[in-house]
Amino acid sequence: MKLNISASSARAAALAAIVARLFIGLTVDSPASFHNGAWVSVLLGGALSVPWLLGVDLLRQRFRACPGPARLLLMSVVLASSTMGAAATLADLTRSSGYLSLDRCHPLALLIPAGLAALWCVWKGGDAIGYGAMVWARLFGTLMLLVALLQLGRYRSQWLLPLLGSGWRDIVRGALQSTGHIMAISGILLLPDDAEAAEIGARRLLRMLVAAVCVAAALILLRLMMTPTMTRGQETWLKRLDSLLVNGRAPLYLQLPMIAAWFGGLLHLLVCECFTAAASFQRLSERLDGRLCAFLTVLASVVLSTTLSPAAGFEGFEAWLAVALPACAALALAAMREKKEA
Amino acid sequence: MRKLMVLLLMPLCLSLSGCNSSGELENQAYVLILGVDRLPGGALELTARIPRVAGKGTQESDGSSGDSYMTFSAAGENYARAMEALQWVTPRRTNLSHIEMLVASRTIAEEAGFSRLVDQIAETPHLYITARFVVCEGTARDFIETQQAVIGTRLSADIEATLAHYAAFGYIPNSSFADVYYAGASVYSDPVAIMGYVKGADEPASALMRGDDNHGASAMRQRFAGAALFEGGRMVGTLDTVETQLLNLVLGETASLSVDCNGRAVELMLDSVPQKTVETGVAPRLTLALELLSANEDCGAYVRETELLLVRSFEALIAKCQRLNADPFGFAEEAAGHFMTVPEWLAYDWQTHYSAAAVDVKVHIRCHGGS
Repeated sequence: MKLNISASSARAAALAAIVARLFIGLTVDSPASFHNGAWVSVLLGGALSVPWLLGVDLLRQRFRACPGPARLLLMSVVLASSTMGAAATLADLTRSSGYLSLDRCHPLALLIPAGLAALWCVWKGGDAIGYGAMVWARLFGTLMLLVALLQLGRYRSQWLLPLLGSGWRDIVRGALQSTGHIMAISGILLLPDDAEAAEIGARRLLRMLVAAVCVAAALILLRLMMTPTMTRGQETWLKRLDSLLVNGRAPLYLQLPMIAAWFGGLLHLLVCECFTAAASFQRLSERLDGRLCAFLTVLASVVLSTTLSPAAGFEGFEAWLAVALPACAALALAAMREKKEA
Repeated sequence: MRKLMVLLLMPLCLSLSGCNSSGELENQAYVLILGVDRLPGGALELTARIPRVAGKGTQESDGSSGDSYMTFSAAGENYARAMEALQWVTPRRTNLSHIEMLVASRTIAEEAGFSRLVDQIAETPHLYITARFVVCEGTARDFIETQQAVIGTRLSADIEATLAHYAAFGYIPNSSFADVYYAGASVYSDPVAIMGYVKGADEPASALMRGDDNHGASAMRQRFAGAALFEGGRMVGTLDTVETQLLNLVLGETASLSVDCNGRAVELMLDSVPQKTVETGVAPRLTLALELLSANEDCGAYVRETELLLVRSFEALIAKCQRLNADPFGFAEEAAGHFMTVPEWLAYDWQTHYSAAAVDVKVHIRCHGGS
């Protein structure tokens, strides 16, 4: 079984995953980045990612021309990055499920169904994931519209002030973090075959990036209008999730669409990362069966999510990969140029 | 492939436990009201009002005072210990997700460390903080024990309807526990909570109602009237019902007000959103402008008199809050807009500037006939 994905499916999956990763990364996973200027960070991060996406497009178009070692190195980094990303998402999913199940379930009982769901989706193929993301984008939009309309009277625009939050230093840090998140997801854009290469095009990729960044910034703005900038409290990950899903100011019945949006977003992110990991694993050795690759990468993500501490392990490693990925891409591009000249 | 899928999905069946160890209604103690008190020895006491799911005729429990509801109390050296003790004295798993009202005694609300307790309550898992927040005179335990469904059969619906009724008239602030928690911990304005007391038991509290103390006959033993003012995370004073009505008007929580102008009842409605402007700097100035509409046909005869009365009332209210260093009006949010970053805003030291700020209140009443 070959793990393939079409260009349009890769774009749709990347769009859903980038929105989820930016929103989760900036509002819940890293408290330092969540301040009144977080939406500026996302927009800046999007702008900083433009050269990278253009590079990805170029690389994918000439991927077959890339010399073996450079290609293997690039795919290895994509594999590591996606596996770590999937592990971090699985950890987030488990913690969220634990919160909703009143902490009465063993973490493994929450982790294994999520892993199996991801495995099943990857086995269904890249196009199924892409179409799923397209359906999800519409459903998510409807859910968020419903939530926004029902909470309209509770949003406080004054809480967006002071406009730059904790200042430019944190905004720039958040922007770099956003760029890292976008880079980590964009591995899936390298996967479509050469035959479809022309279909993606740099313009379409940029349109996807603009859409993803604008949606993520809008979601962060809505989030900022629900709770004020705090000088104390909100320390734990669960407290931040609690104040996002339940908040205290919104009626209890709004939990359902918010929870559906949260878990739907996490699941799409997980599936996108697992597929990228499995497909890049298969690109390392074409003889490997896609099902086996999927099983091994999902298993690795499950194991990593239980063994690594999210705070210490994931963020540092993901940040390192966000640097390694463009470095490898640059190396591959340089190698291709040398080969062409030779 | 299909066989493999079936094999993989089969272990999932183990997680479908049916009714085994699920959250049965009778296995849960749904807390409707949670109260906090400081005991004379310094311990913290938590009191929970829980519905008797099986209805009347079940066994009487320790401390129960009503037919359909039971009250459980437990004390501990801190919030965590008291919560553990409450879990122990309650013979079912306490479920905090349906709390309608959180009650704190005035004594504990005035303590310097009250903000830490508020944080701990807010951080309690599954204590969904949509609950209303009441500061009561006397003890929270006494206040909670008086809570009964007066009209209707369910206490939860009764609390909701009662507080919505008083909030609609502006007698109490329309604030939840989350509002108090967020405002108390935020970089903006100060919060207000609902004031409550037990009728007849707490004489000082009757001063919350302005005018004579004859409030008429009522089946309710508990009262909700006025607001508790907070500053720096603890309660610093109270507002009576008239002051609370004015505050609600400024905050846009209520749209109408009845004013007694030399024996005439003047009915007023907000004609536009109240405008708050703040001039920051060394000598800040707070400006409040209200456009009101009078429903009285003969309003033209006493419109200036009413405007003057309202200007004085608002000035007195703002001056009272300035003396207490509390800003429940939302001036801080307006002032924060003058700064680009939170550190700059915090460095400005709003509290000090606010209490020394000059105040300018403008009230304009438009008569219904357009004169």
